[in-house]
Amino acid sequence: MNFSVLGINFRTAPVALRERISFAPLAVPAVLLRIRDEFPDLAAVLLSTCNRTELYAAGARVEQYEDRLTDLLLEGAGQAERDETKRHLYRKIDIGAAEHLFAVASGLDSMVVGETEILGQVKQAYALAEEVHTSGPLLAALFQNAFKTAKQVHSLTDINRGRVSVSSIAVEFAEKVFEDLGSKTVLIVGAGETAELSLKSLIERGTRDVLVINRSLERGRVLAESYGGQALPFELLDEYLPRVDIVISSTGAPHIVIGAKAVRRAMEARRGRPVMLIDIAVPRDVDPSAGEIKNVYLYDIDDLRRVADENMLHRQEAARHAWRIVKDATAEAAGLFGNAELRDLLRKIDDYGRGARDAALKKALGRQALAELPEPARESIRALAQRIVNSMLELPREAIKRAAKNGQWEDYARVTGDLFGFGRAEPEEQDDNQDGKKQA
Amino acid sequence: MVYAEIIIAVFSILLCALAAAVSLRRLTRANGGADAGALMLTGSAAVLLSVLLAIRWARAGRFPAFGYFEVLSLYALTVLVSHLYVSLRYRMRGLSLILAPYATIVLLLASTGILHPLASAPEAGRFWIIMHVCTAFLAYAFCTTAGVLGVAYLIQDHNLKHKRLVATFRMLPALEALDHRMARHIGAAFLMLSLAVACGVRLVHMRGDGMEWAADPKIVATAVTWGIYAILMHMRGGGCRHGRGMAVLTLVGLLFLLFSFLGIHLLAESAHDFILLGKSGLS
Repeated sequence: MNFSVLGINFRTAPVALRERISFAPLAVPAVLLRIRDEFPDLAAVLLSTCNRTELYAAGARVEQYEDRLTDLLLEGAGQAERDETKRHLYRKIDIGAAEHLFAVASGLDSMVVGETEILGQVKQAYALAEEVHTSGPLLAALFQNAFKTAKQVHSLTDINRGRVSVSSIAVEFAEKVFEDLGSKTVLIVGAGETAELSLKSLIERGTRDVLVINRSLERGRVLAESYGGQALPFELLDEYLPRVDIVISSTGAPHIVIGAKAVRRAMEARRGRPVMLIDIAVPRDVDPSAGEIKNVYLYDIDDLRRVADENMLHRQEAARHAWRIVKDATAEAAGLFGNAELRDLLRKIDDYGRGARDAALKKALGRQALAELPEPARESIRALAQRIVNSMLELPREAIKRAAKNGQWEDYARVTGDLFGFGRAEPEEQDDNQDGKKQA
Repeated sequence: MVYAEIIIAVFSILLCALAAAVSLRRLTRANGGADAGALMLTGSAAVLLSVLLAIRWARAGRFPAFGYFEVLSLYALTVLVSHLYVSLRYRMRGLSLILAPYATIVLLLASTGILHPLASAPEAGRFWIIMHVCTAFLAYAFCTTAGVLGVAYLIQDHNLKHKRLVATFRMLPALEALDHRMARHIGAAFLMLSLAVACGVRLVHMRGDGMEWAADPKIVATAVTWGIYAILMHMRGGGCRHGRGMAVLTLVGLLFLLFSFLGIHLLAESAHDFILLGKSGLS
């Protein structure tokens, strides 16, 4: 065994434990260098995000170093904390570790299945290891396979399509209404938390012009200033409605705040330029009949949640297809582990065949009936013997190679060893023994 | 030469059909690259059509815009080029879904006339004929593209109104982008249509036909179409109208254009029948 992952993530431990074994990007190189200094024969990559910290290590003695690596990662924590954190660590080896790496890079092990940020984080972790020369050839091959697998997962499945949070879905709709969010004006009505999340998502997409209307002008001003916007008194809502492109409303008022008539008047003034109304309030702030007006796109909280749920379901269905891709990639990568042993076993099979052929030829050509054959005839017999051995061993060789590719290497290697008697007497010796038994 | 034309025509149709299939397949698959594939196929079809029309030009010794094979092939070529320009220049994806099937149908119709005898063209005013034809076909291309953008707008509007995050929602551009491009194409179409009409008037003057042409059905239909696009221009430019209503009117404009371009010749005899759909041709 020569590849393992040792780690902790959001599934196995709460954030209070995860933060004890968390490393900022600037601190990662120092940790890797410590590992390199203490274990010169070990290659390592350290991935540390808000949801996981994982150490990927490759080397002949990686299993022996596990305790020390764990201590190194938990350096600085007290004994009680270490013991508690260790209980939440997980460890995977060889094929299992490779599959885990591919799944992590593809976003299949993420809190939001299919998210793409993790791939960038894995790439960054690998790049940091390369910078300090701790990655090594096996890890290099595995991580490149992981990136390739992640790319396939994201391009061949729907796993990252469709947003799954209410605020990002609102933005997704906005991006299909407006070409350039940066030139649009957003009006926040009410200073609720969800409205602010949606505003943040819009700001990330380039929106700069922000107006805030709130019953409490002071509270509105605080919100507006934090986004470089302007606060307005509530009485100016109808006046400003024609001037804004996106309205996010979450007042918590028990009645309708934006009526259909006001929206209709605003649309006449806008001459058909589209407007998007996001009503996150319960009870609703915007008159539902406003959504029937031409060029008005109204979304309430139920609409956004329904889409979020549909997208999440879709992602989960896509995850099944994505896992098939990861499994296939893992099977292909399995050869990276079995390569040396595979070559050794195939060589042993060839040696066995050669030994059996030589023993049989020696015996046959030594008999009186064939001893006097001319050399061309003897050569033909030797060639025949070689062809027989080749055709008999061809199927087992191919089966071994396929097994290595399909992740069944260990089973096939053990059975092959038993069948051919590797580790027992050589075929020539066995043949003599057989003769001895017959004579007896 | 004729066999070369047939082979090239067949390949053009196949490429457009393949582009349509690739775009439609994208409705069911998560394949971001399919749009690039569809664009490459339509681009290749455009190249083949150019070669085809060049061969025709060489064979006929005149600009290839007479007889319905040439007319429809030239129309398909200008539409494909306009689509490629919009898709690449403005990074508008997903329009192949509408335009590739349309181009395929046009080329299939064109192919039914490939073996017809070469139509003759009037000798007088050859330069102005070429100018008239070129500006007219550019107008047809811009009108058609504007219509395609209008269809895309209505589909996307439907998706957004009904909160449907279906494949077309993701494939098609934002409403505002479609609205802007639609307006630009209406403007370009109106300009080209006006120039085509102006060249036509010049031709009539050169031939000395005078007022006979004023009552020609084709001319009347074209005048109505020009008027519709003038109204569209006014509504969008001066009136600043946007949105769903404009998309619907753009489609109405396209229907009128197709009627004045092709349909009129099925209903009435026209001295302007260069398409030769069985009525009297150009003298």
